[in-house]
Amino acid sequence: MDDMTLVDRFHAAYDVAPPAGGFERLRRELSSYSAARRRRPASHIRWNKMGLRLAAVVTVAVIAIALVAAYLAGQRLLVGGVPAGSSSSIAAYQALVVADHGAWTAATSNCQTLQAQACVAELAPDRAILAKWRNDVGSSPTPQRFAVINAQMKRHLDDLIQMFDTAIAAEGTGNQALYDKVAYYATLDSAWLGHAVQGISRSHLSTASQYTALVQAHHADFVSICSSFCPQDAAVADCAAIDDPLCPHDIITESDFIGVIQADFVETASPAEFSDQNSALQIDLAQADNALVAMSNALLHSDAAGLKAARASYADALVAVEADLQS
Amino acid sequence: MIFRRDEAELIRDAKKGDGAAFAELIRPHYDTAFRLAYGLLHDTNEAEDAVQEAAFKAWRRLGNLQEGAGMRPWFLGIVANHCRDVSRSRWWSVLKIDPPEKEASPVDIAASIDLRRAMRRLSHDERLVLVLRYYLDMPFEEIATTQGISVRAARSRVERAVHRLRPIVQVQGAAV
Repeated sequence: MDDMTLVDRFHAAYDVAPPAGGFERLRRELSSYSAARRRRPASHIRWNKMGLRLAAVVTVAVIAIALVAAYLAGQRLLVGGVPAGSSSSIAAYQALVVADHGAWTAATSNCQTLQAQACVAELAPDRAILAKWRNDVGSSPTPQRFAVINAQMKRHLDDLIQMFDTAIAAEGTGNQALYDKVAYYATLDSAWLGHAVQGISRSHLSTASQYTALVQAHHADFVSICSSFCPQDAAVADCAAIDDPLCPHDIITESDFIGVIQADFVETASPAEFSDQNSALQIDLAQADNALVAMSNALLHSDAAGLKAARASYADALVAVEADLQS
Repeated sequence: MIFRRDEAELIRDAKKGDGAAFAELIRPHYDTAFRLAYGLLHDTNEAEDAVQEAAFKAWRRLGNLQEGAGMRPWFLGIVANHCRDVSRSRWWSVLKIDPPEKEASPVDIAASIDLRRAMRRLSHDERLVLVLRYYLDMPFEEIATTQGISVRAARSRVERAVHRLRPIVQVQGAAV
């Protein structure tokens, strides 16, 4: 079998045109993704080991926030008691979350295969970092502004810790397939946490016009992405059946979309006159987020009924979010 | 190779978060990327999905693309790596054989199935160099750039992969 024969056989076996409209679908995805992310093109923080540059940036940010916290704490001693949700408690919370997230991103393993022993050995220490983070956000005072996102953070951390437990169990039994599956779904939690921490660390009180502009921008995104908004049968359309191979990708993409909105509304904290609307919106976004986590868990455990129920919850939550953004 | 002005502008916009600009950057390479993914995954839906995922990865890593480096080998390298991850993680994996595009004789179809089956018995790296060389018709120089290895190493990998492929195809061919 010479080279020319091989070329002929490969072309005979594999020649297939890309599906019609394939590139256009990709272009639309990329365009809508950039619209949804607006001003947030930063990379996702997933299982990859972070570079020294990012570690340095995180370290500088942690030091800066710690200095601000220390300064405000000093001021507190000078002027007496500070009400709950004050700038000092906000800065302390931000410093805590940024430090925990920094530890996680600096340490996350790059495990791709269970055959790599050095990489497998990193799983337990990484889990310990997550457990510390979970303990910190569960036991430290949470400023009112971060109440909803903090609850969601605990949820994602719990989910991610569970993923680690499953991954460690897969390691014990040499189950590479289960390990791969867990590693894939863990990206949902990992990416969400990255968005949330970014929103928390940049959080600032907005003016009424800034807040209104953000609501209008996200409503426009919703309209363009969901075409008027997502009806029941269109939400994560590829998840109508549990064995649809596109469903995992849909869930990860949707989670990213919702995570960015959640982070934006934490970053641009609402002024007092919009606090009721903002609370309703954050709670409905949390419902959508919870539904997506439930969907990924249903896929992980091949739970068709669970997937169906979670998908219905997600569609309901989208209706509520769209209404919040319209009001 | 120096970036053409328009490509440099697209890269600058894409780095700022403009997805449409990034799409334009990879437009000329989409078909090749799809064929590469299809050659590695053997499924049109998975191949389209893999190229899409790889495109998002590439967009995020655009800062790693050095000026002077070609977009095509860089993007194809990311597609190939993503296909490796997909192969590992697809728990729904079954032997899927898409029907050939054009009319083919039963003998040709049998030979195609034979080759695909043989390919599935090779490692990812072996499949990759064979697809690059014999399906995408790449010269050894471009295979080397895509894989980040020397031309000599690329030639050697192809030769080794062919050496592994030959007996499998011939034995299976005899059985068909």
